[in-house]
Amino acid sequence: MNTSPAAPTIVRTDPISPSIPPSPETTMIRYFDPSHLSFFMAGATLRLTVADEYSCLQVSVHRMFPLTHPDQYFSIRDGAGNELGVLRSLNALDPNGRECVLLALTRRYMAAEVRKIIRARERFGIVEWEVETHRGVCRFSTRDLRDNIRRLSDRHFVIPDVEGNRYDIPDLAALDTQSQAWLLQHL
Amino acid sequence: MNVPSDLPSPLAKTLSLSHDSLKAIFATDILLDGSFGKEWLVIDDTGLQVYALSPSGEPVIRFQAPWLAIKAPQTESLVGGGALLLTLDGHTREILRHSNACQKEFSRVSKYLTEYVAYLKDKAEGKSPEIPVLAADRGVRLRCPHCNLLLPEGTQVCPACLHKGKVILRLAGYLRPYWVEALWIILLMFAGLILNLIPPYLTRPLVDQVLVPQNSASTPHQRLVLLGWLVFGLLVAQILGTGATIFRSRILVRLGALLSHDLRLKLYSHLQFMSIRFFEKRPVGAMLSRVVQDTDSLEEVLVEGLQIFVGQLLTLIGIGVILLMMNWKLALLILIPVPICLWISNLCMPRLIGLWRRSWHFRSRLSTSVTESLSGSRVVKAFAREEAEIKRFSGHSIDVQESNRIAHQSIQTFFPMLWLLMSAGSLLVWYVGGRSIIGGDMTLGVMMTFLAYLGMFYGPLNYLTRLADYLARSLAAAERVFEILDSDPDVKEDPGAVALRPMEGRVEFVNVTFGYESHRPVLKNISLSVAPGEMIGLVGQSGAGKSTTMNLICRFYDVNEGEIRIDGIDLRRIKQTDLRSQIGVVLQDTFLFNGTIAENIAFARPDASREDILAAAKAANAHDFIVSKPDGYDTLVGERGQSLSGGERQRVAIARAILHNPRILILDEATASVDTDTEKQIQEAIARLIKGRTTFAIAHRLSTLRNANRLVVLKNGALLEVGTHAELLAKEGEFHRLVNLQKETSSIMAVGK
Ligand SMILES: Nc1ncnc2c1ncn2[C@@H]1O[C@H](COP(=O)(O)OP(=O)(O)O)[C@@H](O)[C@H]1O
Ligand SMILES: [Mg+2]
Repeated sequence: MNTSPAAPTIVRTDPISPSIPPSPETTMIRYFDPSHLSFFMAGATLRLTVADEYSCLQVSVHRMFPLTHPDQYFSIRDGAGNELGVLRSLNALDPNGRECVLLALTRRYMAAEVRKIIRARERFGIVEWEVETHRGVCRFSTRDLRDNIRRLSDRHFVIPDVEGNRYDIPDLAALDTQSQAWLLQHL
Repeated sequence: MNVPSDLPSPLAKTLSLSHDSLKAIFATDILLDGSFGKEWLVIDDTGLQVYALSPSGEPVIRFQAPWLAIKAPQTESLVGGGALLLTLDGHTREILRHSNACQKEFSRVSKYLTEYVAYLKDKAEGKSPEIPVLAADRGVRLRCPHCNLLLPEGTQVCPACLHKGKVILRLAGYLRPYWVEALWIILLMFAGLILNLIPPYLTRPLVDQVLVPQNSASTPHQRLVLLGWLVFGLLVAQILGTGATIFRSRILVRLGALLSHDLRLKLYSHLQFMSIRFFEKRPVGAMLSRVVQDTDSLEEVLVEGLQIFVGQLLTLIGIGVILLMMNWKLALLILIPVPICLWISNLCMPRLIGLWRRSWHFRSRLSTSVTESLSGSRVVKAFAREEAEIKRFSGHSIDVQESNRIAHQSIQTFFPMLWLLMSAGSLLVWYVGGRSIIGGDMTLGVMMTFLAYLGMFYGPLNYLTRLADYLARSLAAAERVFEILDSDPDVKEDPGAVALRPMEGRVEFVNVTFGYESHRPVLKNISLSVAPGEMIGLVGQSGAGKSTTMNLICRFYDVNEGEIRIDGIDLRRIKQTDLRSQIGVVLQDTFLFNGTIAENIAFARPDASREDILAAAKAANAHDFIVSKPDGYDTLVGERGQSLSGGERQRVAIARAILHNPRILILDEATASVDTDTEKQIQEAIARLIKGRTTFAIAHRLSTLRNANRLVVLKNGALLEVGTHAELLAKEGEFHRLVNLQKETSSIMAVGK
């Protein structure tokens, strides 16, 4: 991983484009030192204090690689959506703050992780699934699955349904054989 | 009133008992802790309630708030869904959560709640505001009322409830124009069948009277004469049979070629009228293989299907009857394995079909990746990614190879085994028949004839088992072709569409909301009125929704809420050809077709005279560069116009737009990516082009928009500011900020003067 802090990673491509203002804040990524951050919850909102600098009453945490590296690189944004800085990992946060951030992340990223495929029936290009996820059992339909599925690796799949919801299968091999068979039949 | 159709009855009862003031009920599909489950938001005169069902199925109120306590209702957009938030006692609270499936409903809800809270506040202050109404529900996903299958986009016909036979009938429908040929084929097949039945029939006298005579009444001479006649008979039957086969095959090939052309043409014509959205969702390579390959497979089904269905079935029935008549006991023995075979076929077929689909998918992905990387060959070379592309191709090719191998191997294993099982019947015949001959109950001739017919009987039977495989392969192709033929354009022509010609050019946006995916709006509540002949500059950061606005004017997409009117008529009610023939677009990444410059300029008006073309090119400042090319106007532009420079392509596109002579002109960053000198020329060309037309222009360089009558500033899909250049500068708002940003970045260009 890139460890040199604050290397300029955004390069202006078009000097006259209004979309990338040349202010220094936006041409450099600020990597936070986790020990300077304290997160806490207030009602439904996440707050952040950056030691010796400022407090922000409402922040949101976005994963930068939500599919491929969900536990690395987080963008911390203020209420208006401006990036305050980037956190490389949650590990070095204090336990309480880490808890709060994880809570905010589970809330924001609603993709369900599939534990077991109960049934998958194809009719006319639409597959109707019934799956057990870490958030309970649910049913959904997919269309043109072979074109729409995301294969992140040989074993990691993300299934999008017709509504735009996503169902994550982080490791195909970890599913039971019947589930694997259901899935492979439709891929 | 909005009430979910699947409201559980206990809840419905509770609500109807206690609420006469009910306004609406909305169902969510996710609970607050993120797990799947149902809850209901009930809106009535008193306020909001969220109902859940207790484990015993009783409705319980999980949350309620009176109107007066509710502040700042809003939806929060999450990844994969959203949440409804309220401020109560100064704290923001999340009151329910939903998945993407309910996104549209809840954005309606939140809008309504905001308006209603504002309405109550105004009322309390003694004003008399309008009572807000819940926006009507639009564009729900349709499911089949019988089997709950998600219906294909744009149709009301459920493919599952449609009878299977209907698909076949429908396929057969394509044969109708060629019924004469089809009839000939059937007749020749019939003749061939009868001719084929003759030789085995002659076997019996050949064996019993000539070769191994049962009674020695006939002399060797008589036997020789009979032999002569019988062999002659066999010869004639074979000659005629071969003749019938040749004629049938020739007609069949002709029919196949005609059909295949019909299908291709039909599919391609249909594709031409599909919407942009349709193509966005489908890779070019996949479409290519549908038009080129699948139509061929479909033709094969039709032609082969005709053969198999009619020919082999007839043979099967004919021989079956003969066999039963000759010796019904032996005939029944043959049939013993048939039900077992059918059962096994039924069991294994879906898997085999799946294997074909899979292999088809990989092939289509392969052709997609080839089209993509070949059309991006410059980029590939520029970044020296050839090796990587080869590797990617190899990966996809291996997938094709593997899936093909698996499919073929399974089939090559399955059918011989099925065949083995089936021919077990003939072994029974040998055994049982042999015993009868030894016992003297049957002559050798009867046995030989029986076996000869039996051999012919297994042919079609074998065919019929292969038919399943055949149908599997080709119905998969039929499915894909029909999928396109059946999908109505999602930008539909209204049956009562009005002609609008010539148009005046007044464009109005009325509360337009639009998103490429309905759960993520890109344009929010845009209202704008543009007079005929006015030039509007659209300004905003990249991603603000400028190009999207243009796409909506061209009606490449339909709005989700609100409407766009041209000359006071809703865009959706204007004939599409009328609309598009009066709108001209010049885009940043100009697309030219492989052809000459002249052909490209005359793209919209192929009947334009050469002088029209010259005039357009001159007005577009393109004339001089074109003439200086060795081939002049006959210069080939190459695929996508690659052999012209960016600025040249741009000017050809402008000439194309000038010749098109549209009432409404759309310029989307038409001058980006060219040098200042060329830009000046293009600017001049554009200045000529926009005269007297309603013009929407987007430009990177804000200075370009100085001529605009008004500027419209978009930010994150919302309309922020509208006004003249001077007004907006004086206002010192977003536009002012953008202009200053550009001033900072560019000391060369004078901006905003
Ligand atoms: N075909 C598309 N499908 C999905 N999203 C799109 C599509 N085209 C544009 N978008 C998104 O819509 C937003 C507005 O895009 P656009 O109108 O092209 O912006 P711009 O103002 O730069 O022209 C962007 O967030 C973009 O990512
Ligand atoms: Mg754009």
